[in-house]
Amino acid sequence: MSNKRLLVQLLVVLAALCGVLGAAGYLWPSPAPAYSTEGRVWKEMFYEQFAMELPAEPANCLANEVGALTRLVGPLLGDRPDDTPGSVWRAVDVCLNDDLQNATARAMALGGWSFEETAIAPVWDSAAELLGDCIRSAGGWQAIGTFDNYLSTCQAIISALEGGK
Amino acid sequence: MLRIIRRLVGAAALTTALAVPVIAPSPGQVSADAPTAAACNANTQFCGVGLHVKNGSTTVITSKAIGAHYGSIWAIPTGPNNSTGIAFCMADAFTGTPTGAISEQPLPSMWTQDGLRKAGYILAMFSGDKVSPYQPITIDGAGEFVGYNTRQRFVAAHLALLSVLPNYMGGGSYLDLVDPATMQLFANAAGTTPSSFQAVAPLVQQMVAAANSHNAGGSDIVLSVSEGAFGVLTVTATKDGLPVPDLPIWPTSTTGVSYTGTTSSTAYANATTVVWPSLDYSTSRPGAGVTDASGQATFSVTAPVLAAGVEFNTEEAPGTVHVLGDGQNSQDNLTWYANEIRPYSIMYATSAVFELQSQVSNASPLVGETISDAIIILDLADGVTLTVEVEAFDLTVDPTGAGTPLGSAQVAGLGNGTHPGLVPYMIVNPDHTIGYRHRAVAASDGSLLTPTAWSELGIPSETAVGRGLTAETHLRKSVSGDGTTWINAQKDTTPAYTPAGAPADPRLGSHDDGVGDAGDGVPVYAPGTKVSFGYEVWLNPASTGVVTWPTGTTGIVTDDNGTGEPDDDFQPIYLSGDDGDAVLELGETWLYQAIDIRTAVAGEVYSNYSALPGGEIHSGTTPGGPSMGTTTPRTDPAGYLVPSCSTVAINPADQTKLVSPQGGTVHDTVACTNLVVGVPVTVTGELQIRQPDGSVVPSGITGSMTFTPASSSDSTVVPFTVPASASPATYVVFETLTVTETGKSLGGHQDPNDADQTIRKRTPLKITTTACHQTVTMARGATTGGNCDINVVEGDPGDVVSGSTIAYKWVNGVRQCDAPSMSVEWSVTIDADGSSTITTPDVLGLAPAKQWEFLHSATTPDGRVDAVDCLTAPFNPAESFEMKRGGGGGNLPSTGSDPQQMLLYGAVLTAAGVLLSLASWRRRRRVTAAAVAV
Repeated sequence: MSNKRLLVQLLVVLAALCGVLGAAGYLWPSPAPAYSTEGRVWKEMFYEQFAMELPAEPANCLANEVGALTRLVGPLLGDRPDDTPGSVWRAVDVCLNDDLQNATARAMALGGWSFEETAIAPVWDSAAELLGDCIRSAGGWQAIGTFDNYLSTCQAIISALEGGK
Repeated sequence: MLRIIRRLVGAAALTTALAVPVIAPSPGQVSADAPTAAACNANTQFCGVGLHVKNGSTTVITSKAIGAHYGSIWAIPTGPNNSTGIAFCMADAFTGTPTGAISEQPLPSMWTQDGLRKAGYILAMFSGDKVSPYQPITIDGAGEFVGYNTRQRFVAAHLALLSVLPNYMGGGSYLDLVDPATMQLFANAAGTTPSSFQAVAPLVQQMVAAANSHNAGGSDIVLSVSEGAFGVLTVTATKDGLPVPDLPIWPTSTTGVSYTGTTSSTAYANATTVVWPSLDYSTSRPGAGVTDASGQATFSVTAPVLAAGVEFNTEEAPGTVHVLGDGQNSQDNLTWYANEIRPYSIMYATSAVFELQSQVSNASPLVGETISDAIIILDLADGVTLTVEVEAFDLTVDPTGAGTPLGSAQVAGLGNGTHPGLVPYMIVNPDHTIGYRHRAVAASDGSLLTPTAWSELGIPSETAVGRGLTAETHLRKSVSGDGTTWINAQKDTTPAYTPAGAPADPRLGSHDDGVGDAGDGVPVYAPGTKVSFGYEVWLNPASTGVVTWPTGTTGIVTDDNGTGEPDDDFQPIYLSGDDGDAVLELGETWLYQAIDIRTAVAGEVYSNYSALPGGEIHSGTTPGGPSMGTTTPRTDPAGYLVPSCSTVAINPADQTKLVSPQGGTVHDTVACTNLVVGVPVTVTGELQIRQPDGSVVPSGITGSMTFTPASSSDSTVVPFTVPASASPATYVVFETLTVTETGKSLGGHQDPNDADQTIRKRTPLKITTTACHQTVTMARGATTGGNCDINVVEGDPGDVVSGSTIAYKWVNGVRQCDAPSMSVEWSVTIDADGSSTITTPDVLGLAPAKQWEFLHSATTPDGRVDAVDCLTAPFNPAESFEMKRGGGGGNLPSTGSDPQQMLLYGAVLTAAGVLLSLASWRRRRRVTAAAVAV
């Protein structure tokens, strides 16, 4: 078999392989969803208040569900009334997966940037799931509805976490 | 072959490896996406942290991102320009987060000048990408505070700013100032987890203390130079008579000039550590020194430099801050930063026998303002004076002074001291640079043989750049229904029952017929509300001039009264705002009001425009001077809506306006206009009983219905249940409209004479009967007779009542229901008084009997019935009568054979027979007696 023939065979196989992989979507991955203008505001607010990197899909979802940029995460922290067209508490149920809900619950209770606090660091990793589960077991975010209710509902867990710091 | 296959597999594996998805970063986006401490410290886009702040145990800020915003994601300039590139959110109004770029915003009204000056100092000194060295806190060679990282400094700077200016929450609401002495920082929103950022507390205290001790009175710094020993110049910086320490002082040219100060201040050490940068780090300051606690810096200057002149410069932090929109700031799109460094400069020259200094009166005059030069002479011998020549040039058109000067003067007799006001020149052209130069041409003692050289044209101490004289006015009109809450009702805003009050400072809200902001809304008032209008006039903050109108403060605002007809226009009354000179100046807000000028009328959709004519622009220093232009005329609207309701009440059972005497339901359809879409309202009503005199009294029958209007005109049906016990009467429905959530009254409909609102509860049909005769004696020989019945019929006026009357005989105490008499029919219309009386035709064919009784049955077309059931009705004596056989003419017509009459006839005949028999018997006795006698 000549080298030329080998080369042709190799190219044929490579072409076929590329075709298969391309059809499977491996060569050109779909672009990540872009942040809407309002979604970017939500992303920034989650970063500032919760030290969370909110992907575009949930950020845009929050923007759509809440429908106004007048309160943002304020109601989650008890700073602002939850009087936007859509409740941000309900929007968390709808838009954030369990992992993001867990991180949000942890940031609300312990502070978004508390992973930097040496006193909190030992319980940081375990806190998210504990607090997220607490909310879900109470019926979800919409059922919790207020920051004070969240603190009272999950007070035992929060106290244990703060006590363990 | 096997080798070939291996090669192919290897190639395929390589290809597969190359085909693993690679996610390319999104181009052009700078993301704050690094939630780790290390990454955040390196993140120049955002170096904030969420903190809960308390003064001691008192919460000041429940949760707020504290730190710096920086970079393109915030639309804030990057680059090593120190404070101008960093922003801090001091306004968390949360009245809406616009997502587009917005222009500079006015400062919150509660921010004091004192606070602003301190904030300007904190921003310029501590809040840049590096720390400015000319301040009393130690920094390192990188321009950072020793012991603190950049992120900690940004957090500390933000907290220091919050200690001198209260965080603005919108709507006239502010948080308390942070107290650096008792400040406690917590990591979580509940304020239970202490934050490690508490470590910045001492730094915050130092920053605020430095701002307090800085002579930030807002006045310009005054530089002066004096010569001690020959060639030793001491530059002194004062402000409001007080020395200003820690200021950089540098010569314009270092040739022949060197700093000789021995200060060991922190500012001096800082500046030498970072090689004498300017305050904004934009350039270096070779040859610089720093003022000591006495505000002095000392320089050694050579004789030639003294003779030619030496210029010293300084700069300081700005006296205010700027609030700018940053396009994508998720906090509130309002952030702020300082972007001014104020420069100062002075010129000094000397000869062997005197010292000569100069300083232009104003380095940045407005068009229309007059500048001049000041000459300062020192060290002349007693009694000796100088003749000094001063010239002014427009350096924009004549940069070398080769042409004819704008002004010149040769002034003799100038002795030691300051001689201001030389060669005055009024600025004509904006942006033109005006430069002075001077020289000494003679000394009175002849010691100056030839004139000194001209001072250099264009040096800062002798240069002024004209600023354009511009001014624009603004007008905000607002409306109030109570004289307390004023609503900014812009033309494009939607109605609201309780719109937010307009910001107390009109600069913070929409105006000039512009697009309404989040707090605006057209108020909806109840009929009868007294409506007032307010008008505020102020200068655009960027104005460099002032504005006047020919009539002063009065009569400049006109209201069109909601029509295009000029005859009904009115002018509101001027109340306050001017400082007494009738000149509209920065900081003034002229207030006009028209109190209770209208009364809201149901159904009103009122909008009126106010107008402010263009005013004359003048220089603030010479407001009586010539006009430098005219401002743009302004208009601004206000208005209100008033709901109007109409109602139609009906009986839904038959679609009539009548209700049965047994009661029923009334449905009142209430249709209202000028409602707020989507906001529930409640209609509450009560049936009112109309009295004969037209007045009404409440019935206690109420109903209500809440509905959410789908459009501004919508309707609902209010049901009322009318019980059987309710009096028969004419009822009028009174309805009241309220906002469901607040109970605010919006009027309603309460017209006692509105036929549409009126229904009537029927009067039950009632018939009271009496037989015409209690005893009827039939005519002689009649076998039957008749009697009539008198019916008193009660119902509603106009009712047409039809009835029948039948007589029944009683036999042995039993009504003979199976043997009724013939029936007579009758009909009557009820009179206005609710009753009528009708006498029925005679019921005939009634045989003689001891006891007859009339029974009646009557109906109305609407189904009301009054009937007496033969089988069950109790005996009614009033309807009972006796039929007697007649012996005479009788009292009623009779017909057919009459048994009594026949008996009477029999008796008469019998009596006649008896009489005849007796007569016959007497005749026979008399014949017998005669025969015996014979």
